[in-house]
Amino acid sequence: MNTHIFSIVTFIYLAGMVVYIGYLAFRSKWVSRVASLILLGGWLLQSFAIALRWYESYQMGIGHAPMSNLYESLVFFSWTIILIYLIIEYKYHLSILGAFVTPFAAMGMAYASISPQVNEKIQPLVPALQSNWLISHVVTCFLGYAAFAVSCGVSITYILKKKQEEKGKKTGLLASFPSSDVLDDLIYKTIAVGFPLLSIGIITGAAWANYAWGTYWSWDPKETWSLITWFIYAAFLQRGVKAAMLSIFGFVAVLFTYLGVNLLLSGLHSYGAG
Amino acid sequence: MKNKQSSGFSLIAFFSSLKLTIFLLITLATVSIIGTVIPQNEFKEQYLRYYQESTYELFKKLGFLDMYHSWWFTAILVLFALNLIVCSCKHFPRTWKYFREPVTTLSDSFLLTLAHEWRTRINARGRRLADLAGEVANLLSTFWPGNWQRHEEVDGDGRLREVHFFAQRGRWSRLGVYVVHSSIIVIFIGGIIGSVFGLKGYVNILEGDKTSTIYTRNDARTPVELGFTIECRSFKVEFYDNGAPKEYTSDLVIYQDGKKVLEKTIEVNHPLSYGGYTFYQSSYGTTGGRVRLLVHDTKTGKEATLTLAIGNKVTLPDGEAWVLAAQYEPNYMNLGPAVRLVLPTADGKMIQFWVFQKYPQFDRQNRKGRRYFVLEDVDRRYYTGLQVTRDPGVWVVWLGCTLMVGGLFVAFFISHRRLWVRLRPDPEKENRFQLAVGGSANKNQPAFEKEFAHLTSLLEEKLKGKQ
Repeated sequence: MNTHIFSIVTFIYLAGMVVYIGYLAFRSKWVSRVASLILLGGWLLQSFAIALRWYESYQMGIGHAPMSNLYESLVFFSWTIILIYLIIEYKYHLSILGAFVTPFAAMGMAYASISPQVNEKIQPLVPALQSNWLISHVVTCFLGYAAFAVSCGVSITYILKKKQEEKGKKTGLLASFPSSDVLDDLIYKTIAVGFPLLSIGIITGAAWANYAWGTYWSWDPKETWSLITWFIYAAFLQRGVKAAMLSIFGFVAVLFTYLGVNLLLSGLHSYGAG
Repeated sequence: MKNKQSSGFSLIAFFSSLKLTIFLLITLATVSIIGTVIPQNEFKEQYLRYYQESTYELFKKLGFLDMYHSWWFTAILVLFALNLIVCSCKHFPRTWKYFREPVTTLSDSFLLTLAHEWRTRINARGRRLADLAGEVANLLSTFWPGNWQRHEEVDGDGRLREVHFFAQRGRWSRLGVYVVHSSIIVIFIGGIIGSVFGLKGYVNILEGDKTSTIYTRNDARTPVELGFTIECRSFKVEFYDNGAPKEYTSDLVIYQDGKKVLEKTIEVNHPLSYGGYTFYQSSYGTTGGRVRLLVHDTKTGKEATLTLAIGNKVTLPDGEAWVLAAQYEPNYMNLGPAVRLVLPTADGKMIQFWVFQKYPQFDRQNRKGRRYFVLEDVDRRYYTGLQVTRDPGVWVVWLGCTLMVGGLFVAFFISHRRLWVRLRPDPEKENRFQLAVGGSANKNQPAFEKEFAHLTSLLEEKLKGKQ
């Protein structure tokens, strides 16, 4: 049941994405309203479906939080991206960013729903995952990832805007974007949210590994890539560098940490692969 | 002498530079990729399956096969630590002074440097400077209760000339970055303590057996004495319907000097600690200890019973061949306990086949050799696979992690907000006062802007409103 709803959510997010892109072209307040409402509706439905999946797992007698395999994590990833985006849109009235952020969530949902690699069944937890650390580890990591996804979207906007500002053009699509200073500030803010969350995610992962396997750090590919991501954003926070580019690189590292490691490399952290 | 000094300075400048920090972080990020692409710490044979011998030798020389412990990776980490320490030591005194001795008075030139400023004029309406300052003080303490510092400047003849107020919130935010930097050093120290004084090992204990030694991961030959004895009283494993293990548990008992001191059932995510060591449930297996086989010779019609251990071979009663019990599986192809046998044929080749305890006729019906075998019994026992660690540095690491999270929180989410208020007589007109307000915040400017506007409108309304 829940997977059908997630399929519907995928279409809603895709529709939201299209309307946000339409907003870039038409720039009417009305269009952005519609886009926000579509997105909020999709998010509420997705929240319901997550709760339902959680409930259904208990009905099956293998109850656990829906965060234990690739399908569930993709769903949760999209959910957190939309959550953080909606908060930012509400707070800063930057509907323009929607076109650059919603694709990440829509693609995540589409990948989860369509790819044959992704098993959408509710599976029982292997012993290593039966721990209270599961929720705190996954939630902090994915909130961090989502903040970085939003930051990456803002960075793309920033680079486009900056180029236009340097050319001195005052017309066209980009003219109505927020100024590059505002965007730069927002990149910093989203990373300032994402970085502590990533740090806590790594620390809870280390604590859990220590509890389950007796070693808090074993240079497993997943651990190492999360640290690589941490290094990149730590470099970003030193300022004085090309921040927008670093934030995009950082998100590439996030995606590799999240998906690339499981799909391309082998290691201890193989739960997310199927 | 002079030369030496300048080189000392440039060394400090080098180690404290922000560029070095960024360079090191990016370098660490980049080189760390190597060890995620090249498998680490495997046996040579394993590597030769995917690399040429020459590539293997090159990687080995470069330290790529255990790169996170290679001298050059360690060197980058040491440089990084040095950079952090030197950089923090260089900037800390200034921050500390700023933290301890804030500017508490508002001069005109200082006011110009502040992001938020506001000035107004207030008619005295019979109030003296001291009276008005009292009103201001009351208003300020309703706005930000508590911590206002008052500073008065007096003329040569003792007359009050200027009154300054200063208050700040969230000044800790300035120290957050130093807490984060030191937390990284603390984590490094914890890691070093662990690798110098710690131990990572494993032990497999058969159900019902005891042991007082374990083996380290790096050296599977030299046992390490625990100083106590650990017994695996029983082991249980449960499976989901799809065959995946649901949970496995070991009942462990610890004996110190022959006396039982601790008893605990452990499972994955629920370890046992004793005497500085922690035992983690990490794997399990079964040993097919001894196997009892019945061999029937169709040529002679004779039957005989053989008993042998897994991995061993035994000569058949006819003396013409032998049989080897190569492998035991508790549930081979879902057909229950099975043993793989190896047997030489008459022409000197080897054949191998499985025999099943539940299906005594299997070998006779399927293989049709001169002899057939029946698996009568396997003395099988579970063993529990325990990960054993001793890491006295782990608490230091957790301390560092806690510091880091606290430091990050303070550094990112607490804004250092400062407000100055100055009241003095207007030099241009009698019975009028000048009020100046300045403010600064190091984070979240929009929120502070609102706060600042709130303060100025409060002052405007209350001090001038009754005119």
